[in-house]
Amino acid sequence: MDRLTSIQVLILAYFIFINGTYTLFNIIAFFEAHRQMRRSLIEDPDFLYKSKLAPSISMIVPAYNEHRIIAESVESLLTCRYPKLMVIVINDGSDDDTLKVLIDKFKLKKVYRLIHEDIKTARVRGYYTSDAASNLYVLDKERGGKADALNAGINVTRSEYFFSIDADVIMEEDAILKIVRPILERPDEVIAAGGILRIANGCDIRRARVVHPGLDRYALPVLQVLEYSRALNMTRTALSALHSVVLLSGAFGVFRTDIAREVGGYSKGTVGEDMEILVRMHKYLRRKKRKYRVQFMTYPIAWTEAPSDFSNLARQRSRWQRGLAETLWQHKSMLFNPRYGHIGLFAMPFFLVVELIGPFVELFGYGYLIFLALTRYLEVEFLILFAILAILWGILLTFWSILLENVYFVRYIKWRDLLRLLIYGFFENLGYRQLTVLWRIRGFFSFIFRKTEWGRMERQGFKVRADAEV
Amino acid sequence: MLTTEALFVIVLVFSAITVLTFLAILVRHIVLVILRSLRLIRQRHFSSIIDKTLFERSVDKSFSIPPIELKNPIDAFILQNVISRRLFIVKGDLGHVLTRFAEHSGLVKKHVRKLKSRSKSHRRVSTNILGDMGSKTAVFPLIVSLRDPDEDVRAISAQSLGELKAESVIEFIASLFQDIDDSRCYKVADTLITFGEQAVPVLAKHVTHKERKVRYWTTRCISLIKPDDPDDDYNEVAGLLAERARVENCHRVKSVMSKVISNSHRKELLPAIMKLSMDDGPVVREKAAEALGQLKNEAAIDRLIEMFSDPVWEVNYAASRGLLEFESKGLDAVERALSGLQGMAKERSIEILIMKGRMVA
Repeated sequence: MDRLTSIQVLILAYFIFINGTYTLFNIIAFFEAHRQMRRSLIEDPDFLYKSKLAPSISMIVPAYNEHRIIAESVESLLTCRYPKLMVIVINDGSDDDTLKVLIDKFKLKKVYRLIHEDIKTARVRGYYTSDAASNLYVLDKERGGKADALNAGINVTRSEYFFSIDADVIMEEDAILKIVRPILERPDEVIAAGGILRIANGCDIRRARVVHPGLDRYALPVLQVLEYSRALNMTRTALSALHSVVLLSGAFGVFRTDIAREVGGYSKGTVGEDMEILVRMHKYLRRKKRKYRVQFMTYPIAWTEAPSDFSNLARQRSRWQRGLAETLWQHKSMLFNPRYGHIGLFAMPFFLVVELIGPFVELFGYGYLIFLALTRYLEVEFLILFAILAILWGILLTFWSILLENVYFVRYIKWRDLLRLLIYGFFENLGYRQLTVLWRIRGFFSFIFRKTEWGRMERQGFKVRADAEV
Repeated sequence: MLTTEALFVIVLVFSAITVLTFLAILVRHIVLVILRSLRLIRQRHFSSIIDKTLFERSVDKSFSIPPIELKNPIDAFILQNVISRRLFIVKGDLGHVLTRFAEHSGLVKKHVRKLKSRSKSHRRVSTNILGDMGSKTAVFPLIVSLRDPDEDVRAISAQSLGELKAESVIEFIASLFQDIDDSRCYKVADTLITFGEQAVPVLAKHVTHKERKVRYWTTRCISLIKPDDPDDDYNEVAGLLAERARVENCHRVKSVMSKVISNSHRKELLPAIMKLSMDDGPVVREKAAEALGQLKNEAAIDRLIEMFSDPVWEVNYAASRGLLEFESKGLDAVERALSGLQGMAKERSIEILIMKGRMVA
C-alpha cells in the first residue's frame, strides 16, 4: 500500500469513526430521551414545589456590563418556581450602569456581611440586600472575570446547591423543580445536574418568559438551533446515558456547593470554566474514591440569546474550542487512564479525538479530496460520490435530531419553523459547517499561542412584546 | 478498497434513509398538529362544561354533574389534565365537584383498573393520577398498591394517599422506609410530613430502628413537622432522641436529631444538643448551633460564642445566627466577650454587632 493509499484509509477510517459515533449517539439519545420522558410523566412539579425536603439553591449570576438586560433577567429568575431559591448577582466591576440599574429596580441597600474567602477572588466592594425581593442579593466586586465572579458567588452562598446562570438566560417556569429531582433522590451522590439549553432568538418573550418558541428571521440563529439540537443536546443526552457527562452548559447547570468549594471553585486560567470545573470534580472524586453522579436531563429547559452575527459567533466558537483544549491539557493525566473509569477511558478521549482533533482532520480531508481530484489519483466520480456521502450523513444526523425534537421535546409547532429547520439542515453542510471548522481551528491556535481573547458577546437584549400584559 | 460502484450503492442507501427520515418528520408533525387541534377542541369543550358547573355550584348549592362522554383515549387524557389543573387552584367544595367529574366520567375507575396492569409504567402513571383526582374511592386500591412489586409504584402510592389525606394508613406508609430504596424515600417522607403531628407517634416507633436509613428518614420527618405547641407525643420523641444522641453513631441521623429536640422547646434537653454541638461532624455541629438558638435556653449563650471560633465557617455562621435568637441578651454577652476574642470569633462578633447597630462599620 503506497503512502497516498494509507492516508486515504486513515481519512476513511476517521470519517466512519466520527460519523458512526454520532450515529450511535443518536440511537442512544432516542432511548435515553424516551426513558427520561416516561420518568417525567410520574414526576409532579407541584409535589416538588410543596416539598419540605427540597434543597436550597442559589442562582449565581455573573454580570459584566449587562445594564441592558440585567433587570429583565433577574426578574425572570426571581419568578422561577422553587421554594428555597436565592438569586445572587455578582457585579464584576462593570463600567456601565449595571449596579445602578439593580439598585434602582430592586431597591437595594448596602449591608455589612462577613464573607469567607474559601476561594480567593478580586476585592469585594459591597454586599447588597433588596427591599423589593427578600431572596435577592447583589455582590459588587472588582473586575476579575467570569470565573472569579462565580467564585465570589460560591463564597457568599449558604445554599446547598448553586446554579451558574448567564444574565441572558431565561428559564422555563418549572425548570428548577425538574432539575432538582435527581438531587432529591440522591442528595449525597448527585454533584451536578444540567438541562437543555435552547436558543431564544426569535421567540415570543413576555414578562421574562418564553411563551411562543419560534425561529429567528435571520439564518445564523436558526443554524445554531440545529447545532444545539444535534451537537449539544443529542450528544449530551447520549453521554448521560453512558454516565460520561463532562460538560454541562455553563449557562444552565447546578452544582453542589461544598464540592465546588473543595475543588477550589472555577479556574481562572481557562475560558472554558464550565467544563473545567466539572472535569476537576470528576478527577477529585474519583481520586477520593467517592460515589457520585452527574445528571443531564432532557426536560428542564432554559433559553439563551445566541450570537446573531458572524464576528460574535466566530469568537464564541473559537472560545469554546480554546476552553476545550485548555481543559484537556490541564487534565491530560486523566486521558486513557483507567483510574478515572468512564471519564478517563471514554468521555475525555471522545472530546480529544472527535471534538478537538476533528476540525483538523476535516479540513485536511477537504484539502486532500481537492488534491486527489486535481492529480486524478482517484476517479472524479468516486470523489464526488464520497463528498455526497459525507454531506448526506451530516444531513441525516441533523434530520434525526429534528425528529427526536419533534417526538420528545416539541417546541417548534409552526409548519413554517419546521420547514425552515429542514431546509437549513439540508444546506448547513454547504458552507456553515466549514466555517465553524475554521473558527474552531482558530480557537485551538489561540490556545497554543496563549492569545488572550475573552470573546465577549455584544448582547442585543431579548425581543420583548410591547403588549406584555398577559 | 472501496469501489465507485460500492460507494454509489452506499450513497443510494443513505439517500433512502434520509428521505425516509424527512418523511417521518413530516408525518410526525402532521399527527402532532392534528392531535393538538383535537386536544384544543376537546379541552375547550370539557373546560366549558366544568367551569359552568363550578360557577353554578358557587352560586347555588343544588347542582348536578352533567354527563361527560369520553369518546377516545385522548379524551380521558385531556379531561384528566383539565381536572388536575383546576384542582391545583380550586380547593374545598369546588374541589369535590371536580373530583365528582372524575368519578362520573369513569376516569377514576379507569385508573383503578390500570393499577392491575402488567406494565409498571401504566401502574406508575395511574397511581400518580389517582392522587391528583382526589377521589376517596381510590384509597383502598392505593393501599393495595403499597405492596406493589415495583418500588416506584409503592412510593407514588404513598404520595397519592397523602394527597387523599388517608390518615388511617400512616402506619403502612411509614413502614415503606424499610422496603424501598433510599432514592425514593423523599416521596414517602414528604407525604408523612403533610400529615403533620398525626404522624409523629407512628414515626416515633421507628427512630430507634436498626437500619440507619429508617432512623434518618423518620427523624428527619419529625424534625420537619414543627408544631407550634408540641404535644406529649412530640415531647416524648424529643426526649427519646435526646437519650439516643449519646449512642447514635451515624452523622446523617445526628444532623437531624437536634432539630427535633429544639422543636420541642424542652429547655431541660439542652445537654443533648450541647453534646451534639461538640461532635466531630461539621454538619452535626452546624445543626446543633441552629438548635441551640432555637431552644432559647440562656445557658447555651456561652457555648454559642465559643462556637464562633469553629474552624468550619458554616458552623461559626450558624452559631452567630443562633445567638441572634437571644436578641439583646445574646448581643450583651458578645459585647462582654469581645475583648477576649480573636480571629474568626472576633470577626463574627463584630459582624453581628454591626448588623444589629451596636457597632459602626
